[in-house]
Amino acid sequence: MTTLGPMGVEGVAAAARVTSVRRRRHGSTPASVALLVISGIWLFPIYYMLIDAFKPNNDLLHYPPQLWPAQWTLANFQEAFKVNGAGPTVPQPSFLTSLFVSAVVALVVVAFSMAVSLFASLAVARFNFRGRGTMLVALLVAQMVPFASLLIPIFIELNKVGLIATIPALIIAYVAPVLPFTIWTLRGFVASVPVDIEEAALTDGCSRLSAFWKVILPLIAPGLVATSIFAFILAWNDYVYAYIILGNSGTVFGQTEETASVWLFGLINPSRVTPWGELFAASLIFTLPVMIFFLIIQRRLAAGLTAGAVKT
Amino acid sequence: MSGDEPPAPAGPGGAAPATPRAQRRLVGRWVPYALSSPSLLVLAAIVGFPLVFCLVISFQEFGGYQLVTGGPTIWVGFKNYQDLFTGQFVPVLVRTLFFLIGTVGATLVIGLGMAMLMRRAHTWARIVLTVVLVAVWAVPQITAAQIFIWIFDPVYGVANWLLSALHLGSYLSLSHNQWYNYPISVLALAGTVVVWGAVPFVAITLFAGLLQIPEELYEAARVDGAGWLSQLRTITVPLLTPILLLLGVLSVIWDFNVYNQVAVLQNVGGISNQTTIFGVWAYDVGFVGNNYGAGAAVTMLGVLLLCIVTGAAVRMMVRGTRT
Amino acid sequence: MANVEYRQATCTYPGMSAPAVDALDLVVEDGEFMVLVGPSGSGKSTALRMLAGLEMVSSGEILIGDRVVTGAPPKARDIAMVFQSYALYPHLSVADNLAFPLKQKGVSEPERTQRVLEAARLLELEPLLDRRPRQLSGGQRQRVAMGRAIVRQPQAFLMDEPLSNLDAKLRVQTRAEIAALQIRLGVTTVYVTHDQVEAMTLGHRVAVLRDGVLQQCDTPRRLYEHPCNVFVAGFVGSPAMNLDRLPFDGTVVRVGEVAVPLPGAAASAARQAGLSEVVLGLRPDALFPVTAGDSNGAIRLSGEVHLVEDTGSDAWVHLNTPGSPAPLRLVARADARHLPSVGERISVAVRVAEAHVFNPTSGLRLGD
Repeated sequence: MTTLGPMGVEGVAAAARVTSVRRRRHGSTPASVALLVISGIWLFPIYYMLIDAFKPNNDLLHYPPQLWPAQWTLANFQEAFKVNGAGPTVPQPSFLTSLFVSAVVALVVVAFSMAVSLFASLAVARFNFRGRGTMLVALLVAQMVPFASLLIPIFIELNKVGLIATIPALIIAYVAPVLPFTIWTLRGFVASVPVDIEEAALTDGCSRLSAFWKVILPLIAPGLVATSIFAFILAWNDYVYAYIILGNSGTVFGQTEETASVWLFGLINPSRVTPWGELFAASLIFTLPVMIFFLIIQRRLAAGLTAGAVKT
Repeated sequence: MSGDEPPAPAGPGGAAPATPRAQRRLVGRWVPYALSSPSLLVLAAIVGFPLVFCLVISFQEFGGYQLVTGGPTIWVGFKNYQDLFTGQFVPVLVRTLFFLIGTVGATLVIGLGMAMLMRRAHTWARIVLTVVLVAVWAVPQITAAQIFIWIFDPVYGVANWLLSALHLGSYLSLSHNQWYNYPISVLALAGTVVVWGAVPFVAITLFAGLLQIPEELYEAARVDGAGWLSQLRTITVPLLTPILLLLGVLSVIWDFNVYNQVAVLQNVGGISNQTTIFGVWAYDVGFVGNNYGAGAAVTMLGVLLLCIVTGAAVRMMVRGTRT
Repeated sequence: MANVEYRQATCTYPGMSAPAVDALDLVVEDGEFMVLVGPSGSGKSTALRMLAGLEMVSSGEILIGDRVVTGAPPKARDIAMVFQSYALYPHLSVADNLAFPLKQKGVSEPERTQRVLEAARLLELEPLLDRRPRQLSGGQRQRVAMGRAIVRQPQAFLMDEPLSNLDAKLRVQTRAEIAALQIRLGVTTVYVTHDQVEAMTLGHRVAVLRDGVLQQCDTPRRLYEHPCNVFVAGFVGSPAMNLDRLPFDGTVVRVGEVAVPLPGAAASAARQAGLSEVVLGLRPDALFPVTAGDSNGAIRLSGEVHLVEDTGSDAWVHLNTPGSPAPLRLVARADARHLPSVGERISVAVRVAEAHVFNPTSGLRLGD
């Protein structure tokens, strides 16, 4: 299971394009009904998280469980954003701080990997240099390495360099899985911009640099958006690396910074009762950016940009 | 971190890139090298080097002492591996195998079923499901696991309530439906969370693949008297085999390395040592046990196993494209 | 506006043994419409791109307006180019596409708008100014590409087969428009095409290229009437010239039984070279069917008709005439109103004065 990949991107785009299939049979009603039922089942956990975020704690710890809130409250959200966190026994940094940490990490990962991979994809897509073939193979291989496998050596490496438990360390660690994918994808986008257009820009008075800036960049914008979102989601959602490399409060290394995913993980603790309402309120906030991004990419990718400029 | 990583890029339309139009030396020869070197450096440092380093560590005794003091690591050859084989390797592997069969199988079957239904349904029903699937896809694994924990809470959970409302509770012969007391139910629950989150990607991709099968094939089959099961066997599955294979391989890779969902579940109950699957095992041995050498060994074993499985599948895929 | 000059310009791609453009010497006068024509692989596009600065020049010089620009980047050369694929910027509207080069130059906004409108008016693009390239038809895109070049008022226009993607009728129409435009604007133009009809109708002068080597650069009329070698002779003119290698005995050429005398200068040149064979070239309009009883004394060849092409205004008759070692296939122009039928045996008269003679080994023209 993954957040998003090149094939998934295509798949979502195809599903979104569905309405333009020319020869359509009539939809079959039993199939549609079945689809609705399945949608309901699949949606249920999200739905349940949604309503439980707004239920007061008494109603949550109630049997039989309410499938629709009898009362609505914002208390869970207030609780989640309290400075001293939840639970009587474990003082922890606030959810807000952890959100901030997650955001900083994710955004820097995006900025850094975008910049670096943009240059690399330009090189691979537009130039024929010695070592290009090897580089492409290396990119492919790098994408097949399971992210989790790198945890231990990266941890030891960072520890040796003294960077463990710092935010820069986490940023560096996330770049590993992001970079091969972004270079590969951006390469495809850059390659799809016809060389003619670049040459036209040159004869129209652009230097190579301004041709890149004014012509190529706007045309690969969808690719940049998609890969940025992918990088963001990877960094935002991850737990293991955030826990090991950055840590959480109360571990051996005594750090007090953690990302939101670590904060959420820590709310369930066998030593005490889990504050479900607060957990779901916080989870909702945590999930929101990702869900919004996903819905954005889905529609964007169905549009093409270079159609019509070059007669094909 | 099993889930949130990029899958293999090879896929429909994503074939190996053609050689670009040769740059006729309008810029200096150094330009492409300059452009690509930052990435290469980063990749070498963060992907290449750790891989090699991991291999090296797996042959060393590297524990908490070495970590803190940077002291000398002792070369112990295959000792780490031996300890693993005589230790937990077999039970973990068996557990992981069953887990994999369950999750990958369920994901592919459910995904295919959804895709086929999507093909036949009305457009609006299709859109509804697509939106739901995308929303599910977006939910982080930690959150998904936590929601499911709550749904399956022994006292207040919806699951138990539903089961008793349907009078099914007794059939499961679990005392008071204590899901977290039994390793098998914990793993099954973890598997459910994994499948729940994995199906969207598979369903949507398979649907895209189904769209490429011409309708005429099905019409011809119907004229020849084939029922839906026959059509499935003779048209759908054979034509989708390349995609199914690819998705299968990807699913195996991801589900093999599942950590997050199982870790969250293990946090609830206390039966960790019986629910550890491969992805969790590396973490346990390395970080919990403070034995990084052994942890590295587990990691390398995992990579090796995956290479074998992936290699066989990739070869099959390549052979398939050659016919 | 300026002249354009190639001095021994050569372009050899790294790793290739033969140059794509070989020591090209060509001068395009100020305001002239020069067409580079030749089969694919002849180097004509490469030569154009060398002028633009999009191909490297391995040796030699390129001059624009008496200024050496050989190493200069495209933007420093003050040229405008129309690409075969049009290469419009897909993310910009038509108006922005037209304004783009002006913006690069730093032209002020009001002047930009004015020039864009002028070009749009000239090319009838006004209703399209807000559209995106993907919403335009092929012909419209072609005009936008031209507009983008015109707006610049550059020293030279470079056009790389701009008509080849249009359908036949639009091609003819646009061809005339381009010609009119060039006359009106008076800009030096270098135009590349593989279509020799386009070359002949558009160019003040035409440069014929083959395998990177310039064969002949002349006005269309001279190319047609005095091709300097076999290649040019066979390339220019449609239907192609009848070219046959025939035995020569010092004064006449033998076509089967018939002795065809050669023009004086050609015959003496052939004698001096001691040739026993020559290549005889006769355009279809140098052959015309005659009735047997016509006793003009003209040289006649007879043969069997195997194909008649009636194009409405013209008609072409393909016939087989006995020759050695194998029968010759000749194309003759006929009166569309009196067409022979397939299988008929006819006689064609030969206008000997219009014969072209070439050396069989070197391919060069013999005589004047």
